[in-house]
Amino acid sequence: MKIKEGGVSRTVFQIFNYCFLFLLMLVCLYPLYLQFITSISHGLEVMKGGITLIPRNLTLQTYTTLVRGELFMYMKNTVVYTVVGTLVNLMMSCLCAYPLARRTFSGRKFFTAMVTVTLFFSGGMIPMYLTVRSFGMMDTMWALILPGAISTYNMIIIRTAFQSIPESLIESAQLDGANDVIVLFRIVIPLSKATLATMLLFYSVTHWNSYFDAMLYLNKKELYPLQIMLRNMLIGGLFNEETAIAGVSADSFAVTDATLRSAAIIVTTLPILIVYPFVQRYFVKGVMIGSVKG
Amino acid sequence: MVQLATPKKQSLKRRFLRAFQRDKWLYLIMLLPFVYYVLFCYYPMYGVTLAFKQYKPKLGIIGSPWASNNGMKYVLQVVRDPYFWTVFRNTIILNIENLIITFPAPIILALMLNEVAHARYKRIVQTVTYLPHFLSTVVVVGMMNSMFNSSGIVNQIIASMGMEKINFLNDAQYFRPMYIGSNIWQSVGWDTIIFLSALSGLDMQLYEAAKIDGAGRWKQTLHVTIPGILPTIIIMLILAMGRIMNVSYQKILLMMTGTNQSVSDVISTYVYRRGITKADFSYATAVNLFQSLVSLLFVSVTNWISRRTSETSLW
Amino acid sequence: MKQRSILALLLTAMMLMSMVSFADAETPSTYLSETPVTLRVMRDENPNQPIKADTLKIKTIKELLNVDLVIEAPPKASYTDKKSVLIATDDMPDIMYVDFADVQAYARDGLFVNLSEHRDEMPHLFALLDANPSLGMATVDGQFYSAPTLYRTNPDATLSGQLVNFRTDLLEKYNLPTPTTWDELYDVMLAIKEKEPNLIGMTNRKAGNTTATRKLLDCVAFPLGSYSTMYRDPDLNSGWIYGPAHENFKEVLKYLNKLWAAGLMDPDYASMTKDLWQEKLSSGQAMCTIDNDGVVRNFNVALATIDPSYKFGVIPTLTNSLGQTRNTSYANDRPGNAFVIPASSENVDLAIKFLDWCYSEEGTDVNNLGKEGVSYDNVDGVKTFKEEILAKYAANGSNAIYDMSSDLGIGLLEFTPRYDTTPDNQVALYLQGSDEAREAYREVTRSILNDPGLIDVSTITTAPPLNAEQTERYNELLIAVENIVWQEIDKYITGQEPIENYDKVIEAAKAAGATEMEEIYNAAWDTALGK
Repeated sequence: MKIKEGGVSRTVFQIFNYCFLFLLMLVCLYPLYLQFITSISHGLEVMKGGITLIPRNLTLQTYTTLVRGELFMYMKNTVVYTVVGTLVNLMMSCLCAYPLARRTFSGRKFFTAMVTVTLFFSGGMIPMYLTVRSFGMMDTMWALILPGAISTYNMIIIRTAFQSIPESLIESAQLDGANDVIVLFRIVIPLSKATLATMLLFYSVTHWNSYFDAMLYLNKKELYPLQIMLRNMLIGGLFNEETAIAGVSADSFAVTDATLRSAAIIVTTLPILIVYPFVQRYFVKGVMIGSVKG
Repeated sequence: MVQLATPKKQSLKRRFLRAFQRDKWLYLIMLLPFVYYVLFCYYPMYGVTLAFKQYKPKLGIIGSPWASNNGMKYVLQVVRDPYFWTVFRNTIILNIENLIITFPAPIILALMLNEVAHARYKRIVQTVTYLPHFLSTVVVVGMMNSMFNSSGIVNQIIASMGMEKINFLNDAQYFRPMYIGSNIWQSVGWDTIIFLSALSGLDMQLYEAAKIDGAGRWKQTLHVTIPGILPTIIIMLILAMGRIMNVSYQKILLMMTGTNQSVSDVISTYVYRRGITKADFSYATAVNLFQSLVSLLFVSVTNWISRRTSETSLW
Repeated sequence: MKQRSILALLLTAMMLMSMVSFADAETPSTYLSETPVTLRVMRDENPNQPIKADTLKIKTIKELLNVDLVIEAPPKASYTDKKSVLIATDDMPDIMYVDFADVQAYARDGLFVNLSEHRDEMPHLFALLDANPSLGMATVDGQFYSAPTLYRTNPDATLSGQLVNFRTDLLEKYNLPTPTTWDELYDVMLAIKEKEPNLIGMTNRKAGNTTATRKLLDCVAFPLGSYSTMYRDPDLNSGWIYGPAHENFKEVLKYLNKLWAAGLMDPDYASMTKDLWQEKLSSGQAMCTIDNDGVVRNFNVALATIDPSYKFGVIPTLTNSLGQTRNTSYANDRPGNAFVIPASSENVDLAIKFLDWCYSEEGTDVNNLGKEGVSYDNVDGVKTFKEEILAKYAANGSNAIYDMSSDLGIGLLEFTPRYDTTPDNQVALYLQGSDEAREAYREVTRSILNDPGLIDVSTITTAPPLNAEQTERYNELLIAVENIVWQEIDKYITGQEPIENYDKVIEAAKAAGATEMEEIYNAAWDTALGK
């Protein structure tokens, strides 16, 4: 904790910085907190509105209703797709990024051009569907994983990280007889941990949040991921036009669309929050050293 | 030395073979990604022809007849529609304003986090600020509506200060600020991650050297930190340019009112509205093609400038 | 009606008897196929009512027809995308739930089986279609390519629509008369506002992906003398007109502006959401909303927790400034939501037979009530859900109907081409608890049923069948016209523009194609009627 250097202006800045970040934190935390207190409040109170800081008429019925459905099946599917999908993504992206990062690679121009074009042009939904179908991937998890095996955006970020590794390091390894495969796995990947951790996060969150491919390529309900359910609650419920059944007692409104929606948000977000610190280590640690030494 | 008569062609081939021989491992590594790009990106690209076809599902994309006007029917429908140019302008303005404001925000936040000495505080801030990323658009807009409506918390504060209530949600002039503001809030923490990871890769010796030169904290940031993460910033900027024509229709549709439609209607919402009456794939493909070309232009220009001024570029 | 159901009952009984007597024969006569066949059907899944795989309905269908029904149910939120990709790639299941717009767009390409060619194999469907000539509008070049969602009436049938829901307790409290005209509605709202200035007069909501203003006009424009889109005005005898491009639409805007000027309109009316609407109504902040009365009645429960006297009630149809007393009720038959059999299906013949069965009395019973003796009893043609089933689900409160329908596989939100509202009505009645409450509930629903001002919305909006060029031209024009009109409406409601200037909007809308749209519809209408 060496924050004394720089004198008064530095201290003022530090105070401002700490306070600003604290406020920012509140602003970012509140909505999720709001979802949480909504999910444990009585549906009727939520309907009447005005829940801002404390939950009203606490009930856990919303969660029991949510769990009663096929929540765990969807959850399991999502975990499988996320883990397998992210591994494939990282593997493929590294394989693609490394040759493109090597300035001496003779095919660099060609492959870079090939990859860049896909940033702008794609076939569209129909040919993609036909392609996936013709490869026999309908109703399998590969339909969710292979068509997006490389995100060109993320791959370019990895390439940029690989490029920052001094060429001399690679050359000296090659003089020692290491081929490119060994260089990639023994030198380049270990040196890019921070970026790869970030990409792990990006890819896995993409898989975690994705629903569109699943909706398109899966017909069997037992293969559906969690987000399909969540999205149907969020959007499908929103468009629900003609419900005419009147409940009569207050009890019949303990669980409503709104509370279920909030509970579903909490349930789908929680696993990510739990996993996050393990990934965060890789890129926040580095920064920490920077600031302490500075 | 002896092969004076060798045609140039052969030497090219030879050169290529030699290069291939030298880079064989690299080509081998590239093999799987290459297969991926061919199968899942290039093979379906024949679908672009949809923009010029009168699509008949029974005949497939290739077998469908060309659209009228030498296949230009849908392209002309796009280009000749005056309303399309209105939404095109709205899209560009919204996205450029959005980029100018939301792009620097995560960089600033990353630098601010970088100045925090308490490791735990930093981690907590970072974890918390990225939470909004996980809220879906429906929820975000829903909360915005309840906070900014005429009796919402914001207007209550404004009224309590004796000022006139502001119609944030319906007035056309507030649409872009509301849209961009909520975007920042939703994405700033998440987008910071990439810059934090770039920061973590910076060489400590550079800071030491700067300190020896007598640079203070501010100077260090200016001369070491920012140049250090500049390649990442530039790449992110170029990639952001690639998305200059994309706006998700969902958020806009949720925020759209009759009064703000003149600024809030963008390409994606317009295509969506047209799609309700008829799933018009050819029209949508023609619009897509147009969007691709515009973003290609934006990226090329940015890339060119960046290559001229720094060493970083996309290609 | 009764005769028909008795007949159906007899038929069913005979079928059942024949099943019993030939039980040891190879194939029961009700079987659609000797060998078991799997039939894949698809519709969207409403989040409130998950579609399950092993319901009483599916088992009953297997028993009766020897058909293994597999219902693929993509979520409602993404159904449009899924559906259009499946149609565009001709990769559809054996029967699919579509919009009539899809039928119009693709039937001519030979994607769907022309059901009219199979008239003889579909006696039940065509008997119903022939009985209601207005369904003939849901054809393409005079042929039925789709089977519309049809309605079967039942003893407890109710009627609903975008009705005037008002806080009737406020009328009692301030001793005000129940309004009979829109102007009187304004007067009582003004009188209440004087006493309780914090109350909002009229509020509304956003629905789907249209703006809140559009939804408001969808609800109020017709009772006030016009309509928000193409319609046939029953009082003007005008043929097809595009409502906002006509003089009468000014009356609508004038009235809304009058409310706005008096502070009776919700200040947030243009940016309302469903959640905010619920909040304002259920917390007692608003006096009135024009919307589905069944939904609004739910807020009475929340209101009762604030003050037992607070209550929304439906006000009989009001008379507007043009002297018309009119409003719309929801359509029973829904030609817009239809079922198609893809020509590429491997089971076309079976799909035809099965789809037709769904329109028979037996099929309608199975799809809406489950299995006789198991989920419901049938006494002299009166079908009643078993008490224990109603009791079991009543515990789930407002979700009772969805949970019951989901478990049994029944109702409008299932694969049910011909629906009947028996489950909804019987659950609603059961939930009332006591007999007095039931009678009071019946009283309310009866008064709506007997309201002479209500007309079925489909009678003014069912579009005539258009040919290919007409469809394309009409869709182009509609988009152009709506882009002009709907950006202007709010200015007139809030008084930013004086109502006289609306003539310019009418002119612009006509120039952009409103007149041509009307011509297209009128020509197509005449063609359809054989003029």
